[in-house]
Amino acid sequence: MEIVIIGNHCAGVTAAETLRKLDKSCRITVISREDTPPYSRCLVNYIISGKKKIDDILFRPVDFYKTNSINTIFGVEATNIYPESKEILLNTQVKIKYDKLLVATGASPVLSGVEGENKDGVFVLRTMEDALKIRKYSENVATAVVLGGGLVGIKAVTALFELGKKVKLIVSSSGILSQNLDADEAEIAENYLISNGIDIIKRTSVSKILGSEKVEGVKTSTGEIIDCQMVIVGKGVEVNKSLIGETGIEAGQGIIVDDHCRTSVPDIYAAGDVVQSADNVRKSAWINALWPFAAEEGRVAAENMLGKDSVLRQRTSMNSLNLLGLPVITCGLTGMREKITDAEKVTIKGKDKTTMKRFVFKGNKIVGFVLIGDIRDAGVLNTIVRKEIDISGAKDSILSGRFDFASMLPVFMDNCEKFNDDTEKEFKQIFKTYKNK
Amino acid sequence: MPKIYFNKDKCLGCFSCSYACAVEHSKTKDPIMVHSEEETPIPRRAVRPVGEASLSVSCNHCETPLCVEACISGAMRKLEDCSVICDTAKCTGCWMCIMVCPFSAIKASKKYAVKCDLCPDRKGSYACIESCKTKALYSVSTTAKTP
Repeated sequence: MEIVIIGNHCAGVTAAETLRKLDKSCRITVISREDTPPYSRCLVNYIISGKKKIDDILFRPVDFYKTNSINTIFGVEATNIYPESKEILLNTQVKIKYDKLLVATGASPVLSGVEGENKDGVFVLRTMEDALKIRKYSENVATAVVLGGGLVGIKAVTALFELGKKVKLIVSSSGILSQNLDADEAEIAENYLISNGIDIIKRTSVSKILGSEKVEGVKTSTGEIIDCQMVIVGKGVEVNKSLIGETGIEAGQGIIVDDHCRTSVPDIYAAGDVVQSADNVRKSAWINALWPFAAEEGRVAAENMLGKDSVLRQRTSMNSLNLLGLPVITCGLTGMREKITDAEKVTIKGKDKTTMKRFVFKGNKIVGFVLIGDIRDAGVLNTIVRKEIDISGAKDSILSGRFDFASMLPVFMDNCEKFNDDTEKEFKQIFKTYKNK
Repeated sequence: MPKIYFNKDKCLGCFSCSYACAVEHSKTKDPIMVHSEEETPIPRRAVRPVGEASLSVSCNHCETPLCVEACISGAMRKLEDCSVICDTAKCTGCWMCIMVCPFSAIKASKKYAVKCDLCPDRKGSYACIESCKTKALYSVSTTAKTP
């Protein structure tokens, strides 16, 4: 069987690895416009700061493709898919045949369209190449301005800060990480970054990037002129789905996949940041662009390609970050603009100003939580949220901070019909142990 | 790898296993000297009440580990012998594994994630099992390899 994978990052590599583990004989070809070993895009900020080298951010060995007998066509772009003839076309005019195809093309950063964005010294941050360019250019940079208070912006600003640059984060929202945190939580995170020496300017955007050929400053929406020699734009990404063209592959914002990672066209699967999948808490499709989901989708797509009937686990949005040492974990409906009817939000402040927990209850379920500072047992809460576990009877325990696995085991057992996932056999073993008390 | 099993009917909730785990992962590996170490060692095994019984819980070395899928650096891996091990040198402390582990099995140390590592310095025996006087914790060899 001829299996073709477009994309060589988390989803593509995990799919290729799973295929080879399950089938020693199928022919696997991985195509990518990047000519790189399997590196983690989540770690490119360390390349900027110099804390890690390329070898340190590989999530699989450098000879991964060779040892797994996986063919690679790198430095090329797949431009078209022809489902009738089961072929794809590369920008080198070469056609590749497939029996099964995985589209794992990810997403690309978008520029904000601000005047002056084409000057030298303006960068996006997603790939290793971006990070290397930023690191090289920063040799002559004293001050850098980062646009965007989301995850990319935060990673860029902390990386440049660790490199010893003066940094200013310009955020159009009223708080950083507005997709994950509410106003109070954003303030905790902001104060922590500010106390470390990072400037944050909120409710502001950049109206013009100044300088002749090179960046020399920015002008903000409030009229302020900030001198700087570099601008990093972290204003979001767009999925790379142009290659699906007229194929009939259904897509909304992202390529639509079912819980088997199948697209609407037979023998074509999709995985990673390019897809939109069912969010079990939002009860709608959502682009959950996160490493754990990409890895799971790569595995599930690969298993299904080989005839195994595996499905994605119930999921909702989640994220974990380490803000210069301050851990922040969010899950479910926690963003600033999240509109939930009949929700009960409970915030529990910790012993110091950087420790807190927030729960968002809706009836007897938790639809979201935020942990800052103390992130113990986050995975147990995550399980409760994504599986919509009824926590009546355990609410007091949760609010008093006792939500470790053992404390929640009775509640899990009461909801044992929700633990039928083939990949979660370990629950069944433990339930059996405690069923006859 | 020999898997660790738990018999709740034999568990006294005495905490020997959790304590032994912490001592095994300390600098001195001495049950008395461990208290004067600069950094309190972190037990990878917890003992908790469940109703009237006790539960000794640690990493299950799951068949399809959520932590391995969540790991952004490739530090968390399922090895050939079916064990799930964190390569702490590769771990970047992103805590995605803690975000997904349903068993509270992973803890954050100052720099990296810690969880049951099957006592690599003990060469075949596990500190928790050796410390359990009632044999509530016991091991059984699994011959199955990673599928």
